[in-house]
Amino acid sequence: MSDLQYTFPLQNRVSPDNAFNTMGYEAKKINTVDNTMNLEKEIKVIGTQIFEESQKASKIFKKNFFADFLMSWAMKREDIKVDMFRFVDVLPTLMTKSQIVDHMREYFLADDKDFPLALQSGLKIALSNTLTSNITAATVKQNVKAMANAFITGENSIKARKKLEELWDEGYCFTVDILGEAVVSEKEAKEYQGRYLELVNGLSDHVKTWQKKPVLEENSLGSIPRANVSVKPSSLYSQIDTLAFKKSVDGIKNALRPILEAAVSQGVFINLDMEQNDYREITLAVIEELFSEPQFASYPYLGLVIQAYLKDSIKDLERIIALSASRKNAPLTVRLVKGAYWDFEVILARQRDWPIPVFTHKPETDANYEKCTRLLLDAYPHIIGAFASHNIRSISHIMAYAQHIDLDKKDIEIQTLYGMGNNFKKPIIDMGYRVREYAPVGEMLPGMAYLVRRLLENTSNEGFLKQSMVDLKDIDDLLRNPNELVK
Amino acid sequence: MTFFKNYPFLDFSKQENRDWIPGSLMSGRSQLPIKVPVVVNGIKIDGLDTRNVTNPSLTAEVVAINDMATEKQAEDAVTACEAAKKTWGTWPVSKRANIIRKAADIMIERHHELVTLMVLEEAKDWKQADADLAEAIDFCRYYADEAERYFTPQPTSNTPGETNFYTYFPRGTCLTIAPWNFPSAILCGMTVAPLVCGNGVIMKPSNQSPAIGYRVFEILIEAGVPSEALHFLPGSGAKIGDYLVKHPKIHVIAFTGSKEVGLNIIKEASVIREGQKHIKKAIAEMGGKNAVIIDDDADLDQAVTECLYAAFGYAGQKCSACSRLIVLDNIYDKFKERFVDGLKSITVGAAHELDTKVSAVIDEASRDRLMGVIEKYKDNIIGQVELSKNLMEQGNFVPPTVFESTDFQSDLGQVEFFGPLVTLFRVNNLDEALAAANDVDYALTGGAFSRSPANIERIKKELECGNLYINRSNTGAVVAKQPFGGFKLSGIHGSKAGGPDYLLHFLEPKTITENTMRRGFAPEV
Repeated sequence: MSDLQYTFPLQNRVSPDNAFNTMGYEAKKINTVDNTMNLEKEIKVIGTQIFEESQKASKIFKKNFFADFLMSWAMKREDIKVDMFRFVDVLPTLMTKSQIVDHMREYFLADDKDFPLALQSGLKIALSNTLTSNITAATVKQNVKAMANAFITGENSIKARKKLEELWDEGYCFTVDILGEAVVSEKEAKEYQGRYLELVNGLSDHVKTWQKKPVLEENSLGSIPRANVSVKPSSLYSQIDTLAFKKSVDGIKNALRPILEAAVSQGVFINLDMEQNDYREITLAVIEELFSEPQFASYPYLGLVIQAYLKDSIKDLERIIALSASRKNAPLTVRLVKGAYWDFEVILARQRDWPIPVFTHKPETDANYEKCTRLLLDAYPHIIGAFASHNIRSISHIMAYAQHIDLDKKDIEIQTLYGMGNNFKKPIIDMGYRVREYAPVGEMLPGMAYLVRRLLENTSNEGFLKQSMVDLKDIDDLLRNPNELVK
Repeated sequence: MTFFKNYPFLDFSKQENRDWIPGSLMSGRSQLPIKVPVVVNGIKIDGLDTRNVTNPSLTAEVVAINDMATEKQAEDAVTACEAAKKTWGTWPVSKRANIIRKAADIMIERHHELVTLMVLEEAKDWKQADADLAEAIDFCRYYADEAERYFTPQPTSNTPGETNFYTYFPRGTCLTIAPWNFPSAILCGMTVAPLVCGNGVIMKPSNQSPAIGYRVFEILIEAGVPSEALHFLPGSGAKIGDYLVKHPKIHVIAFTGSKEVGLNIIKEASVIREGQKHIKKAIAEMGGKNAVIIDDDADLDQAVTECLYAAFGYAGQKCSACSRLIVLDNIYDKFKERFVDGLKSITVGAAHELDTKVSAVIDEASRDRLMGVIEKYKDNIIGQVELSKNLMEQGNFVPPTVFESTDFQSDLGQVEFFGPLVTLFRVNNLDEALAAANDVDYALTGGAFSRSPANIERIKKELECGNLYINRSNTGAVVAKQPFGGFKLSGIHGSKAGGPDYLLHFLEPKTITENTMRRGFAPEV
């Protein structure tokens, strides 16, 4: 097979049943104390290796004065962080320089703000006359744009292609996600559907020409498509409502169906994202109903997301594993994440006085992530696990457990966010694992909301990145079994 | 600091919270039409005229047949309330408070039935009806707590030889004239507030919501309110409402409704009539022409979603509804496009259907009046939901409509429509926005979407309204968290329902001073 020829993925499929028999996979459940201790030892070995190899000083943002300014202050002062991120959030709607200057004054120089004097005086000078104000405004907007660009692969799918190819050359595969504004009308939902269709139809031609890389496009069951698209259910139907359950499910299904049909004909992988907890049951119903339709029932390139911060995640995962096991030669892929809406879920639940659906202590989420990991890996080949994390402990646990049950490296993958935690990714690639980057495509305005969320993650006290970079904690602390920290 | 705990809304994302609906609807329908009596002193009155109330989403369905009270029942009710002064009015406050709390518990037990009734009688969709009942429950519990606070005498001095206490006692018989748009919540709130303070109360429910009103009345009696203290008089506002407003033995009138009726009540209540030895208190909540300002740095995702809800939730039939959108020039076109597109995606239908976001308006008169407005301003229409002929014939449906205008003095800018109609106005800057927002008779709710801290501060100080909302819908006030009420011609006497001042309307304060010195000695020295 020449490097330039990209075979349609549905050939060379090995059925999960055959795989089970011929390759002798057998889920070995860890249920002895000895095994647990051995596992912990392996985790420490793997984790230390990854950590040591990544210990070069890393800057997320290259040569960007506003970014350095923002990140360093945001890490030190929680109160400053809120104002800074709000400023970043509103920045893309500000059309004129004078609007930017006004907002900078209001957010950073108002009397009731407790910004350090050094900060304030510098900014006061910069904003003291029209000339310097305009330059400052322009620079700030440019710098913030550059920050956003660090996390976004391009404004649209055409512009993103170059970045995606660079990623491939560096040893990553991708899943593309469209960043956009909230969908408030069916007209907007239709536009999104069009963008997804354009991605699905356009990507596979583009990726055909790339260099062959078995690590990124083969597992024990056969080929994996290079083109991979993640779809947000709420972008496809504007009238999602918890009470209108059936209509919401139907609305999303009807909009998603043509996208899946295009994916099947192009051999593209489709992932359905999971969003806020209000929509979870609706999304699970879409998965159960749509993925079981005849034209998709045997398509092996469908994925969904399970969020480990949810108390119901094990229940949902068991439900999905059963669904996947009932498919013929076409197991689903589960992207296991921790969850990106924690603050939102807690705030909403408290306002409504409903039970909080997420774990409220981070170690609980981390421990649950590991429990879900084992459940997923044990169920192979009836389901395939893709593990989204930047947490070295979590990643080491995945690798150690997979080794323990003799799962081949190519039958799992690690997923990471484009632009974050780059220093940890290279060691994982060097160890021979498939790393897939979650690669957003979108314009500045919706990109900003994404940027703010990434900044919040990067600078949160509990974020792994801040801990390892700023606080220089002991490696043992970083690799500790989260179950030890659960109260 | 502890805060009041509101009764939570139903989480409809859970299947068990949806599964009960079809059965409850069937059982609710099987009881129709509900016979709503006039009850005075515990006795249902015979031989009165009746009136039908139909389901606004399905006008062929008769939901209630209510009796129409006459002046005789009104007079008897007043007499009974005089007797209640010696019973209900003298009971320890905690006994009354616990009865009101028990009523809340009964409402919780009968949740499904009561919510279903509001869906059928007032065409409230399930979420609105659930929120309405939760608010009624909150009013019971909140005012019960408040009454216990007020009836605890407060010392006003600590000098020896003389005790000074500030305390309250019931003001006197109260007439409650309730609206139909929050048929359990507002009726319940305006009834239990004077009740828990020890006053006899005569309930005059709206003609469009008698059945749910009757349920509220029944529940209060079941909870233990004695029959002489609470009377239920559905009927003509013009007849018995007027009779009681003018009655010399009525002390307080609590009214929520239109500006015209409210102002008339205030006028009549000011007259001292033969046999009257007190000055009446009339509290009135009278509507709004609520404006929301969209600043040019607003988050449009948020602004469009929230404003669609604020304008069209319950077909705009809330005194808090957003009815003017004052949008800054820079963002006008973008906002307009997304708002109109969003409107066109809304599902209009019968209230009992789970998909429905906007349902029918309360009655034919409203429907005809609103269609008249649409016709009069048809050249200003920039967006409208198209409704099928079937739907229009099935119930009192009005197509949700967005207008555009530059004339703040037109009806579009001044008149409260109480329907699914909203108007966009373009302004150049925040000065113009605030001036326009304030240039109406009313000052009930207001809102703004902005990410400029300085503009937000300015709006907080300068936008004239009793309930101001920043970056969220300007509807949906909940008890205790957002005491509700306005000023200018929206309301009188700072009568904010669900707030710490509300019970004062139904109480008289009394200062009690006692010289405790005898022969030069006093206990505390």
